[in-house]
Amino acid sequence: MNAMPGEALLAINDLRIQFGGLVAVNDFSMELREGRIAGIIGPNGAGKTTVFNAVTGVYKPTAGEIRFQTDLISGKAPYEITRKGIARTFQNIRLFKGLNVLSNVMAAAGFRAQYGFLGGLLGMPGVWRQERGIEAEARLCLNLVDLQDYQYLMPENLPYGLQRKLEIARALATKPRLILLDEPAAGLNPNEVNELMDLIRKIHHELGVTVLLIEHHMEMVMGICEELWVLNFGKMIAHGTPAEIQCNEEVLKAYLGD
Amino acid sequence: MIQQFVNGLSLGAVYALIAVGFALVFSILKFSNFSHGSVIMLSAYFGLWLSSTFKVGLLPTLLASMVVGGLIAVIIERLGFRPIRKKNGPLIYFFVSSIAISMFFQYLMTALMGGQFFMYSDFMKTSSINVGDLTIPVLNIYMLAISTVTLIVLLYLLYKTKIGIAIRAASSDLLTPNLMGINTDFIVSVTFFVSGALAGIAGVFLGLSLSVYPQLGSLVLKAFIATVIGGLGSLGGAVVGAFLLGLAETFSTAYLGGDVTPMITFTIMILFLLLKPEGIAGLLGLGKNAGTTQKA
Amino acid sequence: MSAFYSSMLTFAGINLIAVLGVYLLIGLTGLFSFGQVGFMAIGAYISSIACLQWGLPFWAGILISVAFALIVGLFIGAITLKLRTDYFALATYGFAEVVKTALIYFSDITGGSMGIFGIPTLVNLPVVAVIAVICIMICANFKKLKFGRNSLAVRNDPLAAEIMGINTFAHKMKVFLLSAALGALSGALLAFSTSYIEPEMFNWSKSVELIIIVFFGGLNSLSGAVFATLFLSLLPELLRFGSEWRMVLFTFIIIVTIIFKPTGLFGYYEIPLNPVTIAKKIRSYVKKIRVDRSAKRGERDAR
Repeated sequence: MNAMPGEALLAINDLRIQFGGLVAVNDFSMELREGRIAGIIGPNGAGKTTVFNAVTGVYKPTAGEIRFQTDLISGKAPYEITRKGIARTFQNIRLFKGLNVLSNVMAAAGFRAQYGFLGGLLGMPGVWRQERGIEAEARLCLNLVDLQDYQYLMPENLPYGLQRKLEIARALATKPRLILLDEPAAGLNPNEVNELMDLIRKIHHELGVTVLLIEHHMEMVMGICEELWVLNFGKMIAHGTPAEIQCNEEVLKAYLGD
Repeated sequence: MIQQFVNGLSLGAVYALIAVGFALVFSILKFSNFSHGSVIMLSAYFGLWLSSTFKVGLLPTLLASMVVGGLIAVIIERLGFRPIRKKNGPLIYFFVSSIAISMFFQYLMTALMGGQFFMYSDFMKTSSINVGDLTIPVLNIYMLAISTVTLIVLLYLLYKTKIGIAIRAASSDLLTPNLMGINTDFIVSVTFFVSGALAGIAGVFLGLSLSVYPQLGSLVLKAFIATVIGGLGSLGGAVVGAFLLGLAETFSTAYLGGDVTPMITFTIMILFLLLKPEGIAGLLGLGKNAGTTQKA
Repeated sequence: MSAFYSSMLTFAGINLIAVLGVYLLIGLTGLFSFGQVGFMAIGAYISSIACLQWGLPFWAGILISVAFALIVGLFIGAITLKLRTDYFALATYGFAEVVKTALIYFSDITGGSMGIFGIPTLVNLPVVAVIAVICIMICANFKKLKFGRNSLAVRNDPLAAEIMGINTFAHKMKVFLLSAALGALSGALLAFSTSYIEPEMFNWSKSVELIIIVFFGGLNSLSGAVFATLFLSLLPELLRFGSEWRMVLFTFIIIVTIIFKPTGLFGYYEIPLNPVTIAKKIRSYVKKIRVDRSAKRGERDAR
């Protein structure tokens, strides 16, 4: 069941995440409509990645709820949430060492394979056909980010910028409707940042994926996001278009100090 | 009943020595060091050789075994763990290396000395004394007393000396001692020496009470269980866990028979693992749960 | 083939089946378990008892023992798979010890520490060889398909694996059960080949031996595991080592391997069994030789 373009794809209501005495996210609410490119920004430690972790099931909310369309996803296991259509990249690159580039992407596409455990072990006929199907899907994702020439290399041997692209390709292999990008531009040089912005636009336009990103790179944020939420100390302090946010006094105070 | 209680305490005291040595290495390097058992076993053989060749009494044997045990542990660290640490190997390699080392020494001693059980000569095993209804072997009194003294000395070392503080600092971050002007490698060696010294004392006592044989080192598993019960990473918890384990085993063997005791021990351990993984230290809020988010 | 070599190879083959289980669990998936000997014991004893005391045919006994191992594995796995690495190791060790202790304790059924005698010798080298090859093929399929990728992903970064849609708990359980089945099968074959089983055959030393073989051969390499099993099972017999020194050698080899080549002898390398791949490799190797030769000729001509 698809949301109508413009309907809320991701709804976060009064999310509160507390670790012992530390409140990392404090009554945060947001509604992300399908088909948008949006961003969550804020100074370091504001709780942005914590929100991502809550959405993807890594943390269970202390209070509040998260819905993907109408499905309640807060408190579910991460793999269940991913299979519903939410993909994610990590702030620190978490590629699978020990698997080559192609296998990294295939690993993310695996859950859609139909063959079961016994059938696979015994090498039943349909299984290999499905495997080639997974391989083809994975190659498509690699083509999208222009990594097809590196498919048999080990991820540790790729330069940093390509590793970041591989993370995105891998996330795309789960065929998401919503992709969460956690600081995708961190450590990239200006050329790579432009490439990344083009890539995000491509994902958005060609695949129809809704994009929500966390970023500190202001040019990129202002350049591609249509909507922004600003967090500081776990609380939302502003919400609006990039133009509105740029003039917002609270936001300036948060970033620059008083 | 009280008889068993006292026996259990003595057994627990020796387990405590092993458990604390084990926990010390765990707290700074974050892995379960099974080679600790080898140090215990080798010290037992050494103590036997020393006391029977030179006819020395209990205390000199203990002191010598402390030193030898400490040295063996340091050598093991140098050859078996340091290369892995220098290469930033994952924790699992330390674990496997420690198991391989423990098995190596066990098989080596079996091949060299045969699998038979060696007994300390009679003059080392003095008789029992009678206190009211109880018959307490003098050995048990020695074990309890000397272990307690050793633990107190260790406490002093850890809290009142610079080196001890550095060791405790290293358990939150291995690099911290560098801030105190102490080299990381040196701290690791010192920690292993201390844990080896404790193992040395334990080895002599275990050799005396159980006789000396190559598989003696497998008793380090008791230490592992004790630290699980006590809370992995917490030294105080290891001591408490060890005493509880000693008591539990003694009572179980006395009333239920030796065959069933391992099952009882493991069931207790499994229950703790499942229900209270932070152990007793976690229950009481003591000590540091240095290990709960790490993988060994 | 002489009886001596025949029985040696049979033993190596039986070992191999158990090692395959350990390889999948510890090598590919990173689940450090000491429990394989527990499942071997279950396989050996249940199949023997089924045959001797319940009069069931040989194949039925094996199937029943594997089924029993799977049920036990389901139970044990449910308890232990959520534990962190060293707790998991300890818990699986506990499981193996409890199995051994139970075998000694319930001596009416199991013969206690004396074990069970007189099991019919129905397993010989051809039987073991065929079964071993089938098991290798099953493991090769495992590794090539998504299960192998899932295993390596879970081993490498369990959180990232979950986020990529892998149900890590379910996967770990599948591997655990498969490994248990292989262990039980190995134990059952052992019982029907040596005709005598006792609890001490499934002790800590055996556990360590299996783990050492996997680490030696290469955590990631199936061919490495196969090679290491054959090598380490046959070598001491061929060299007529006394059994005590064999283990001294084993453990020394593993210590040296961990320190100098932690990924094991084979590392990530796999012997290609696919005829297409073999042909490709031969072709590229021949091409390389031709290129080298013509390069050398070119140098000579230029001078």
